[in-house]
Amino acid sequence: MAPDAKPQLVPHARLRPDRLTGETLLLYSEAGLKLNPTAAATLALCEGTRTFAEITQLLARRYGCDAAAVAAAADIGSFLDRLLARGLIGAK
Amino acid sequence: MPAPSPRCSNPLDWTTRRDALTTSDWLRVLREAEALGIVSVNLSGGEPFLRQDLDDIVREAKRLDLFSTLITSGLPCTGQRLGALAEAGLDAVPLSLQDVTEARCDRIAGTPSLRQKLAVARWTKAFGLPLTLNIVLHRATMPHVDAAIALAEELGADRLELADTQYLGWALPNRATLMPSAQAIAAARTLAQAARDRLRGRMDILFVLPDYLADRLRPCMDGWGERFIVVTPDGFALPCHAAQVLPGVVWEKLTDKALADIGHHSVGFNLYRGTDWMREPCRSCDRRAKDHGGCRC
Repeated sequence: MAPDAKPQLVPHARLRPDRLTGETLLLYSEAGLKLNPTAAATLALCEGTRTFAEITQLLARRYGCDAAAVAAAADIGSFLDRLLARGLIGAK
Repeated sequence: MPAPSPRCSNPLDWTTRRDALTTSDWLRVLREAEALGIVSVNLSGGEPFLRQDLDDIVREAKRLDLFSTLITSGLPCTGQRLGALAEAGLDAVPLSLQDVTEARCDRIAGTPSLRQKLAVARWTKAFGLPLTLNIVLHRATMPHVDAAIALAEELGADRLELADTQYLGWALPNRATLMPSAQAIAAARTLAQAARDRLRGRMDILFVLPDYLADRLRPCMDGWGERFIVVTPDGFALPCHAAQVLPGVVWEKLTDKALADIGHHSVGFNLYRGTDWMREPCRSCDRRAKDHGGCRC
């Protein structure tokens, strides 16, 4: 994911809480993914207005220090790339 | 009345079954399901378009934030009705094609169908709904994977599922006719993989291997009574589409009881729940909590 890309969930995928566990689910056609808290927080920020760089900064601030931010950017980037490949997010 | 098909075991007795659930029953079932933790609803059948109250059902699903998917043959669908469903909040319309040319598709479907299905695909895109095409692969369709990919591209499909026949139930005794050679499957899989790489980000392509060739059992229904509830048109709540073939089980109806009551306490939903029902070798198997003794059927 390029630092200036602005990822956004596609209209036919959406987030909703799992009533039984409180976890966040990403629902789409005939399937769904159970998200861990970081993935859920990431996708909640993917509204098409923030760049990938801004999203990782926000998450790093929420979760901890600079070293964590570098690792998080790599993890978050590959997570978003996988969703992009599956057509679940778009990136402007 | 479904058409007889040379490929699958369509239940042909729908005309002898009656819709037992009224519109308000269906809306109540959706509310009860959501309260139980259900997050998505597949409107299947029979043929869901035979109900005139689909808009109301979809609207309630939307209000409950349930992801709603319409599983239709496409045959009774009109642009007007699909538009009304999109307006009511329908989320997805996966479309099954029996093959990719008119003659072959119509022969397997047992009725003229491809032209109408392609119209439904175009309406689906026009109303801004995601388009998933499902093509069932077996010996007769396996060589047409490249044509299926081309058709999906032309229609602007968001997702293409190339799903091999699973050799369970009806397909198992017919596997001599249906099962392609391992080479044919490998060739089709290679084509699908190349298309997947080429179309990455535009179309998601899924190639599902026959479980016959997989090294592990499929976790049947992701665990009996754990994730899925099937509600039949005549009002039964079931843990699996095929549950009614199990001998000696009395299934319960949503016209008599609340969904939570049936789901938690009925004999049928507890038959294969957890691991206590298992015999050896399942009982001591390391994978018992993963594949849920999926060979029981």
